[in-house]
Amino acid sequence: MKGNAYIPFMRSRGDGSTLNLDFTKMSALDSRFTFTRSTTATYINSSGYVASAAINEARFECDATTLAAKGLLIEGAATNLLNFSETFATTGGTNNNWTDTNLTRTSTNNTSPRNDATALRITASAANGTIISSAALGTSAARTLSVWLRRVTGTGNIQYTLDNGSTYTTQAITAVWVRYTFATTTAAQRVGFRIVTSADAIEIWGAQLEDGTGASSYIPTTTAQVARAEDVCNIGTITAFNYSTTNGTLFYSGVITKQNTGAYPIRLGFYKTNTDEKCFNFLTNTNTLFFNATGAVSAETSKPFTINTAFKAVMSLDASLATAEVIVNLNGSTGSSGATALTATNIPTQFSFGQAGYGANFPCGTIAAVKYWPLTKTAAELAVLTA
Amino acid sequence: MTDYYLRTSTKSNMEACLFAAGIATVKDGMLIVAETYTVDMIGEADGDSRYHANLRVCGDLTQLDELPILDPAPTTPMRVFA
Repeated sequence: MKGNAYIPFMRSRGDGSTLNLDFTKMSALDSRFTFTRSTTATYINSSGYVASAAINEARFECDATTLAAKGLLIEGAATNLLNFSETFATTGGTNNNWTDTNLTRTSTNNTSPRNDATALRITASAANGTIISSAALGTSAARTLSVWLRRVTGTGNIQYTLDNGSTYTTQAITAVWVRYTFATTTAAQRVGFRIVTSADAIEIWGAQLEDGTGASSYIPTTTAQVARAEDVCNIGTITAFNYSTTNGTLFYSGVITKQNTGAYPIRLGFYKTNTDEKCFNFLTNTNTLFFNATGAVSAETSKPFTINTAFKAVMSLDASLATAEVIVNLNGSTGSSGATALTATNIPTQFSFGQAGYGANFPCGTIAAVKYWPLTKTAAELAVLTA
Repeated sequence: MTDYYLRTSTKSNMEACLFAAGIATVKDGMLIVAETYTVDMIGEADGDSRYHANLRVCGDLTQLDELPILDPAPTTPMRVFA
């Protein structure tokens, strides 16, 4: 689907850049972008509420608390493995229901993080009131539980379990909706929550259990598990960027909220689609960002990032000299591929965000800004860009 | 968009069907899905140990005979697309 809002961003800003994208200042994609996602999806809108995006609609994420714009949300495919993520119904799920013990369901007419009246309020009718998923979900694997919680009455402990109540961990919560995430690798992933003190009450909404490390955007469910498809976005006409196979610098700032594993998909960068070849890109795998220039002889180096923490990364290519290399910088930390006989000869056909076809393998998070210069910058200049 | 529910005896059989239908390929050990298709590889479903996958198609599906499509589709599927 093509965007239709013209935003004059692809011009040199006087610093020699030929591509300059600030997604934190956009609310729609320029018509030169192509964006696809074959399912609906959610995001945090500019009012701080969970909102739904239609099929093929790009999402611009904001911080739920500060309302600050975070940029373009580009996520891999994910599935919410829990049924009844909002109603926590006790019957009717194909995979699981929710079982109450020592709990009173006060109502489901409370204002939710979506700003509608769908949040469930639960009150402990005796000590240790619990609400727990009725079925273990799959074999042992790294998964992430996420849920919005807020306190209504009382001051007692609020706890979560990942193993059907064998163990509980206390989570401090407030009277304000916050989405909490909990990592789990237990064998029998029956998740749930406990109100320790009788008569204490909380509200709960948007429970999600998904494969992998880190939470992606919320996927609402009712009677079945629900799968969200990946976001794929590209700029198909790149002539104006003056791409150079010998000298170039690419800057990227953003946040990754969920890691990918076992693959090195393009997070963003120049891509040769007809032969599915990378050119000059940032790649990801687990908690590591890879800086990649590819051709007859390729160069690559890497640096670890911290999940859910904003970072700035930049890479500069110099393949014009005998000691060609890629110099990089992540949050002020420099590095390089080392001197190589680099020939980054792949000629790109598009600038890509995500990599079409690899959606089950790429990470989740927001892209705040991207810049490209068809020239080499020094290590000192790169450090300034990520400071 | 049309959704289909697929089932084979094993994961490798499912992949073979998707390859034969031109819906997916393998590169560097990863299942790569062609444009206009979305594939959700599920595995066991509802206690059925056979291999299940969901397929979403943008446009017409011309490879009906090459795919192990559940017909009729399940009335209460364990997993759906958003």
